[in-house]
Amino acid sequence: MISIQEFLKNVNTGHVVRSSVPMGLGKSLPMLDIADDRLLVTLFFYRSILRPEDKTLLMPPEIIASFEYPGARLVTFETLALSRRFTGVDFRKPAGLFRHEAIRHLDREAYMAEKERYYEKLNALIAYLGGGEAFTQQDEDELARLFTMLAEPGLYPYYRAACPQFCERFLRK
Amino acid sequence: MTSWNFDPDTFGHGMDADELAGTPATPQMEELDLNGDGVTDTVHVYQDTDGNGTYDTVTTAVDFDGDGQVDFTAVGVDTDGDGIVDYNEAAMGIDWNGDGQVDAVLYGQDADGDMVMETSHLYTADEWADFAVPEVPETPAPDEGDGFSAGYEQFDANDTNMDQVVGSPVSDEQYWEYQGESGPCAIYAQVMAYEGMTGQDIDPQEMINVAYENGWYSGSGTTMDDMDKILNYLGADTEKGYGGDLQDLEDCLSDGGRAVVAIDGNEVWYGNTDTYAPNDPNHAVEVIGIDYSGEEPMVIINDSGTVDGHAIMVPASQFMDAWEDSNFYYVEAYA
Repeated sequence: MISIQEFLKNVNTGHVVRSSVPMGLGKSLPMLDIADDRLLVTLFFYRSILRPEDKTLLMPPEIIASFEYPGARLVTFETLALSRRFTGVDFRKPAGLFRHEAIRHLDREAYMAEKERYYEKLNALIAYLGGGEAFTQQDEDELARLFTMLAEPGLYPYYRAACPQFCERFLRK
Repeated sequence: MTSWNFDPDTFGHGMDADELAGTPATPQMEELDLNGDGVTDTVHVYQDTDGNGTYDTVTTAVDFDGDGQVDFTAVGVDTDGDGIVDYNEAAMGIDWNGDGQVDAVLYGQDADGDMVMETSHLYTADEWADFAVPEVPETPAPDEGDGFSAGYEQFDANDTNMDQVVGSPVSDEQYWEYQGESGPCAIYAQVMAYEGMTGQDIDPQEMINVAYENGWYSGSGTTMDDMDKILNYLGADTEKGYGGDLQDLEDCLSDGGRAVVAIDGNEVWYGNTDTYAPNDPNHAVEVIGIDYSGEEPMVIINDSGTVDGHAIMVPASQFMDAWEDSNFYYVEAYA
């Protein structure tokens, strides 16, 4: 089974991103979902506008997409600006700033290291869901800690909208 | 979804494109009795959302069972103003247990207007209703900031051995333009490439309009698939694909061509600064040269995404890391 890191690389170089995701949009943290006995990886795509001194703008997500794991086949694709669920969102206004408080102590390398830990916990969860190794309460707490810390508070509502069951369990704010 | 019968040729049930074209920019409602029982069961609302005097959006509400509650809603949008619906979405409430309450919402999107829902998603009623628009922080709006400087050195012909330089970085640098803080990187990269090859002065804004009208630019950005469309529009020949390497770029530049590459923008934008961003978008830049005179080759790029992005020199190893994230996707262009 491929790792979530390889899976994300396949998504980034795959047909869906190449043909349907405007350049300039980056991926959210991946989340897992199960539907009809299939394991799905849900992401949203959003723009960050780089500015110094922790004033990088996080724009509202433009696309929510789910891909079947491990083959990265597209399952759902939602354009938020055209979706009635999100009619109250002004997509021209930032949803938040980066870096947020919980990660302000992390430099670039430390942030990437924490993100890597998050991916490894997802790999462990995927292995567990596939009937393999155990996923302990300690693993679950650590996955929740990493997800809650790394996800940007201004984007929490979008994470919840994209993958409610995952966020109910792992987004602890 | 049998009631999903918008006809792209007639833009809705009863009004064709000719009737709608040029009508005043006020919402217009059309009530229909599709099952012929004498009671209105379907309502269309036509709207001119961009205020250009032509209807571009039709919203449909259907009460299938005559209980006075809307069971099905749909929106059709003519995104490019040609009078044909090219985006549809629909939502249908589902009452699993027949208690008169909606238990779930089946939502689908047809992103290309062919009347086939490419994607659909079943939401519980709670999930559907559970989106609270978050408060937004007070910040300078996008494109009102000062931009971001990656802090790279610019190529200087006086500081290198020009015999070791591939491409035309000195002349191509003058065609660099800053795109602002969002959007059209691929269009700027293509315009810069075409100007470098031909010496013509092309207005990027005009090309943005062309791209928008042709569906190559969404207002948000350009997809990698469309990364050569403006070059083709201007008359350049292009080849594109994955798997490029430095030798491919060198060959292209040596043959008088120009190369536009898709890279992980943040890996280049960070430059030598402490700033970083949470996600890694693809970003288009023009490669205008490679300088082999130093210990490590330097890839010289025109990057419209940073305020000092003209002829910046990126170490080849860093450039390749950034390029790898698109699986080395690139466009070769020849005038």
